[in-house]
Order: sequence, then structure tokens, then C-alpha cells
Amino acid sequence: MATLKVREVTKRFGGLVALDRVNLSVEERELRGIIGPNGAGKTTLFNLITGELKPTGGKIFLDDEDITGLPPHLICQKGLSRTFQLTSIFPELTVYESIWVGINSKRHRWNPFTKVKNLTDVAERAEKICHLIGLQEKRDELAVNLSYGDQKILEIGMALSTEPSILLLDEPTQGVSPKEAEEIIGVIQRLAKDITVILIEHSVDVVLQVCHKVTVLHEGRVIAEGDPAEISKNEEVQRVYLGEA
Amino acid sequence: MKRGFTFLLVISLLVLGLILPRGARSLMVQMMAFSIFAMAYDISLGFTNQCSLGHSVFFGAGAYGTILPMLHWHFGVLPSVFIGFLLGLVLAFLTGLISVRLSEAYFVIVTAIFSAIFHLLAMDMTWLTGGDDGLSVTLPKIGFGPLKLSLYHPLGTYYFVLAFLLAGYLALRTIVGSPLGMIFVAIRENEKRTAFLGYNVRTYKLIAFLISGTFTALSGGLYAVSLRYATADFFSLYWSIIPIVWCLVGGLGTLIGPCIGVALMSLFQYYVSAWWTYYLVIFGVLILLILRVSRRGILGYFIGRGARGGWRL
Amino acid sequence: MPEGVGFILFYLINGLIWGLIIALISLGLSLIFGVMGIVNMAHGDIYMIGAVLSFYFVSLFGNFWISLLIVPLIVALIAAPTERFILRPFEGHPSVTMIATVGISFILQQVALATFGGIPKKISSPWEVSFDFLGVSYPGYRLLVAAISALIIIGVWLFLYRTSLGILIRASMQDKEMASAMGINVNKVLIGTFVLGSVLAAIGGVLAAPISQVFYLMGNDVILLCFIVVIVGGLGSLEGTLIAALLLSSVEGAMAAFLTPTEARAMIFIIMVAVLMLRPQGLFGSNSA
Repeated sequence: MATLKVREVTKRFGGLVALDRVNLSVEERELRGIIGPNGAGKTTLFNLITGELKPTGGKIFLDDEDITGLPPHLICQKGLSRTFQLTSIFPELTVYESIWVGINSKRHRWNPFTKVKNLTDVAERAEKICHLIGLQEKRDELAVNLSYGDQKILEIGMALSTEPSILLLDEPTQGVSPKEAEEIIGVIQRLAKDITVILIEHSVDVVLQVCHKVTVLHEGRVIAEGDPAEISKNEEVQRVYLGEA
Repeated sequence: MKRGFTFLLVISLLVLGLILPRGARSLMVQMMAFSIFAMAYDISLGFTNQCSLGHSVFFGAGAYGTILPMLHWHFGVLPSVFIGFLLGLVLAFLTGLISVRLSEAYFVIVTAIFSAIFHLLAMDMTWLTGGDDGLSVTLPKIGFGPLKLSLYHPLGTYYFVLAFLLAGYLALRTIVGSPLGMIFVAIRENEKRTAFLGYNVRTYKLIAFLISGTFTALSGGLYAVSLRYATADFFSLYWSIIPIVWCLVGGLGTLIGPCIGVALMSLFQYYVSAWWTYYLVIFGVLILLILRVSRRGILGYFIGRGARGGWRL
Repeated sequence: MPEGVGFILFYLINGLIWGLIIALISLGLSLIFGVMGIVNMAHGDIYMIGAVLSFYFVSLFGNFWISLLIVPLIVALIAAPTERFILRPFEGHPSVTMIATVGISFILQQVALATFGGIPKKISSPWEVSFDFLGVSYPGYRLLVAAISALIIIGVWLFLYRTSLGILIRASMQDKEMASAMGINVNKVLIGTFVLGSVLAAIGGVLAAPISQVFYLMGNDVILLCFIVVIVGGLGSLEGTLIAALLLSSVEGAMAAFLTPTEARAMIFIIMVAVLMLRPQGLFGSNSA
């Protein structure tokens, strides 16, 4: 059963066609890579799937449920969670608190008469995620004081804290050191054992190395789809994308 | 340490009522009523980053909501304060419903328009508000069974307002320390991220606005009780701006900070306005200077350099 | 008081003339917000300063028209350093600029109170001619104000669409990053916009001085209407601001024939709330505003 289906999705900004009848099916527990040159429409596709933008045409289904045009918080509640290309965190919250907020959202806890520290189930889960992403030692640091690489990892942790069935990562290794990139890739590979991950990456090598299946976007269209071996052999991909470098 | 400090503060407030001379006591009563306003305002500005210029609507509504039932229907003081509180809730709900979904700039402007329109209407509807001259009221005694408390007794008003200040502080402190308070801070830190973590940001902003507006109305009611008087001037933009000054002086994102701001600014106003008519110039300069140093206010600036205060887990 | 059609027309024209003055001031407000993200709470006080300075010049030289030339220059000289040295660090953050400009508003009002005094004063009309049509006698100065305002608005339009600085200003309203990436001298654009916006408010003040009272709080009344105008028209949309100013002022003017000024203002407020319910970004605003 496919967990995420994008059907004939089109997005226009004024006269500009950012996405043109894009189709995408992602299976459960797949690690899917989406690549394409700048301006191919990768981030726009994420914005449409997660509800930040509404598509001009087409439908998006999550587990056969139509989620087209729902607001972001509802899409998140249904199990789709994302990170942003430009890291989006809570600067003045600690690592632990940031993750706490994410976990709490699914449990609908906002009772003004309880204390934050008395919600032991949320606390346990928060500790677990801090551990999973390898930030347990920095749990009490303010997010703004973390290194850029750690902020990217924290954002993955926050996205993960809402217990998603599908995780969308927008260029998680962009702008970090090679060593940090390696750590981030490690975290992603660990995650992909339990949930579906869709990964936008600028670095083709990373995608070809870790993903099960790769989709190539070019000028708003899907020009190729297949396993890494097929993609690296695909002539059109080489022409528009690999050849560019 | 922090608990000890709060305890000490409460004790000294209780004792101060007995030892302060008359003039200082009534200044103190005023500061305590304003402290509720300042904390309530900070729930909006310091905790959820909603910079409202419409809080004079709730302050004025609280004052009239409390005065009018006593004046026209011979309600007791406590039920009247409660009616003022409810009126604040209703108005905060109506204005919040319109304004919380707007972008930041629209929110600021639209709330300022609310304040200006309510002020115009209050000035105009003299049959209801008494206009600029206002309405005076005789306060009935408050009965607790056989015990009767008169707010005309020198200590009556002091302990009456102090009781509300403590209750208000406890209520807001509970909210700030609850998951709801955590969500508020998350919204302040990054609204978009909070939405993408599954929270309906508009709803939570509305809740914060409601809490803020309702407690502001409570403050207005208490202030009117302490003066035994309400005027249409309570709706003026001044009463929307002064809480910003308190919060900036005391520090945003905390509950105690705004109260310190109230104390400092009230003393300042008390002494400076006596010898200089144009003291509002100093307000203006002060606002610009504080913003230059830190947008979280003076206390926030010092807290920000060390550990954080207020909402820490 | 006139009757019948002339009666309504009288109020409608009055509203329209105010609409042109309001459009002038609101355009300044909208420009300043559009280019630098400043919610200028002191804008009404600049209007007031314009009127107060005009009062001084009239009593000094006995000639109103000199003040119309000199006052905008003085305001420009005050506005430029205010933008550069006081407001610059806050730009782009609506709430922070709002608080900062409230501070400036306090200062301007108190300075006016200290020097000009707290009592409203009048300037006699510089053109004591009246026109008759449809049985209504109409003061000529007001018609002149309408003509001057309209000319200035056209001038601003030509400036924004025909001159290089104007085009830079409009480019910055559309996309600030793009503008700075294209190597636009941001400093010049920012100061230029703030000066232009403030000068428009000051001219509004000078023109309004003979038809309203000069008073240190006169800005509060005007800024309220200007805010409603930019909200309805769409913050940062120049066309929207212009249309909303003319429309709302005419409506208010026409209603003033049957209602008290406060009631008419409340009606305008209700229109604003209705517009906000349907379009939270205003009639001509873009979604991102």
C-alpha cells in the first residue's frame, strides 16, 4: 500500500508554472530521494504536500485520504512532518523543550492546570528522541547556541517528535561540515528503518548512496524515477542535471 | 531560592499595608492594580508576541463593567468586579476573533483602531459613561457572613486589591507553567514551526488574547473600585501604550518583570509629573533607548545574558 | 443650511475633499510601511507638526503660501535623520517599529504642547472666495485644497513611475532582497521614502490647517482614519490606499449629513471590520502583506 500519493499536481505562480502535473507515489518505509537542479520545484512540492501552499490543480492523498489544501497543522496531525531548507527552530527554547513541544502536539495536552514537568509520558518520550538524534548531552542548551549542524539535527528531531508516518526533509545537509553531514545521514538512515522518509538533496552523491528510489525533477516535471543505479545511467538525467556540474 | 523570594515579597506586601503612610498606601494600591494589567499584557506581548494596542478597550470595559452594576442595580462589589471580568472576556473574544488571524502589521494597526473607536464611542455616549467627567460610585460594604468589609476603611482597599493581585499572579503563573504556557512560548519563538508541529496557532493565539484581555479587565475593575470612579479616558490609547512601557522597563516574557516595571514607572510618574508637565517626553525617549538596548526589555536583557527566567521548565 | 440635493452634495464634496487630504497622508503611511516595514504611529503627529509650523509661519509672515513651500522642507530635514539614526535598527519588524514610533509620537506631541500650547487655534482662510452651485455656497479654499492635493498625488504617481528613485522605491516595495541584490543603494531608498512619506503628511497638515483647528492632538483623529484606509485598501498597496481614502471619506462625508461625526466614524469602522472578515489582507493587499 502506498502511503503518499501525489496525483497530477500543478502549481502556478502568476504566469510561472512551478510544477506541472507531477505524479509521485511513495511506499511505506521507503527512503525516497528527490533531486533536481535549482528551481526544479522540489521545495514547492514539499510546500504543497505539507499545506504551506495550495496546489492550482491535482490531488494529494495520505493513506488514500485526500489531504489537498488542508492547513499545515492538520496535515501534521495526520502524520506528515517536515523540516525546512532554512532551518526553522525555536531559538530561545532548549533542545529538550523544542522536542517536548512537538511530542505534546499529538497528545492534545494544553490543560492550563497541569504542570509541564508532571506529564511524565511526554518527558520520557522527549528523552528518548534526544537520545535517538544524539543530542542528549546538549539537551539543556538553547537552540540558538547550537552549531548549525546540530540545529539541523534538532529540527529533524522536532519533526520526528510529532510521531509522523512520513518525514519530509528539505536539504538536511546543506551548509554543514562534511563530518556533520555524515552524522545527519547516519540519523536519517536509522530513521528510515521505522518510517517513510522523503529527502530533497542538492548533493546527488548522498541521494544515490542512501536512497532506495530516486525521483528527478526538472523545470517542474518529473523526468525520471527509479533506483539509484538506473538514475545514474539515465541519459536525460545526465544531460539536464549531472552534466550541469 | 525563587520560591523564597516570592514568599518574602508576599510577606512584605502584607506588612506594608499596615506601616505605609496614607499617600504611599494609595500609590501602592494603584501599583498593585496595574501589576495585574502588566502581567496580563505580557501574556499577549511577551509570551505570544502579539503586540496589541487594543488593551485599553478591556481596561475601560473592566472599569465600567464594575462601576455600572453598582451604580444602577446596586450590585455588591464582588459580583460587579466579576461582571467587569466577564465583559472583558466577551470583548476580548470578539476583538480577538477578528484580529488574531491577521498578519503582524495588521494586528498592530487593527487593535489600535479598536482602541481609538471605543474611546470615541465612550466619549460620545455620555448617558452611559459620563464621558470625560466620568461616573462616581459609592461602594457598598462587602459581606462575608456576619463580617462586613468596608472599602472606605484605610486598609480595606489595600487588602482587597492585594488579594486579587495574589490570586491573579497565581492563576497566570499556573497557566505559564502549564503545557499551554509552553505552547505560547513556542508560538512567540517561531509561529510557522509551531503550526508545522501540529498546533492550530490561531486558536492558541486567541486563547492567549482572551486570558490577557480578561485579566486586563479585572485590573480596570480594581482600579475603578480603588478610585470609586470610572471615566471614558480609560479607553484612550494611553492605556494601551502604558502597559508596553511597563513590560519594556520590567522585561518581556516574565510575570515579575512587568510588575517591577509598574513599580518603577509609577514612582517615576508620581515624582516627575509633579514638577514637569511634559514628562511624557521622557517616556518617549525611554522607549527608544530601551528598544535600542534590547527588544526584550531591560530585565529581559539582563536575564538573556545569563540564564533565562520565567517559563523555564 | 442648504436643503435637498444640494445638501447631500455639499456633504459629499466635503467628504471627497477630506478624502484627497487623507489620501495624501495615507499614501505616505502606506509607502513607509511598504518599503521599510514601519507601522508609523507618529505619522499623524507629523501632520500635526505641519499644521503647527504653518500656523507659526502665517503669524510670522502673514502669508499662508510661503508656509506651504517651507514647512515640507523643514519636515524633510527632520525626517531624514530620524529615519537614519532612530528608526533604522527597527525596520522590518512591525511591532517594534510601532512601539518606537509611539515613543516619537509622545515626543512630538509634548514638544508641540510645550511650545504651541494646549488650546486649539485657527488660521484664517488664505482665499476668501466662495462659489455657488445648485444653490449651495461653497468656500473656494476647500476647492483649491482639493486641486492642490490632486496635483500632488499625480506628482507622487509620476515620481514613483517615471523617475529612477521612484522606480527603485517601488522595486523595494515588491521585493526587498531582489532590490538589494540588484545593487540598489538601499540607504538612499530608505531615507528617500521616509522623507517623501513624512512630507506628504506635513503637506496634508499645512493644507488642512485653515479648514480645521490647529491643536497638538489633531494627529490622533487623522491617523485613525488613515489606518482604517490602509487596512481597507491593503497595507503597502498604493492604488488600494488611494481608492480606499476617496471611497471611505466620501461615505463618511455623506453619512455626516444624517449622523453625528462619531456615528459616521463608527460606520466606517464597521465597513473596515466587514472587509477584514472577507479579506484579511485588505481589498488590494497581496497575501503576504
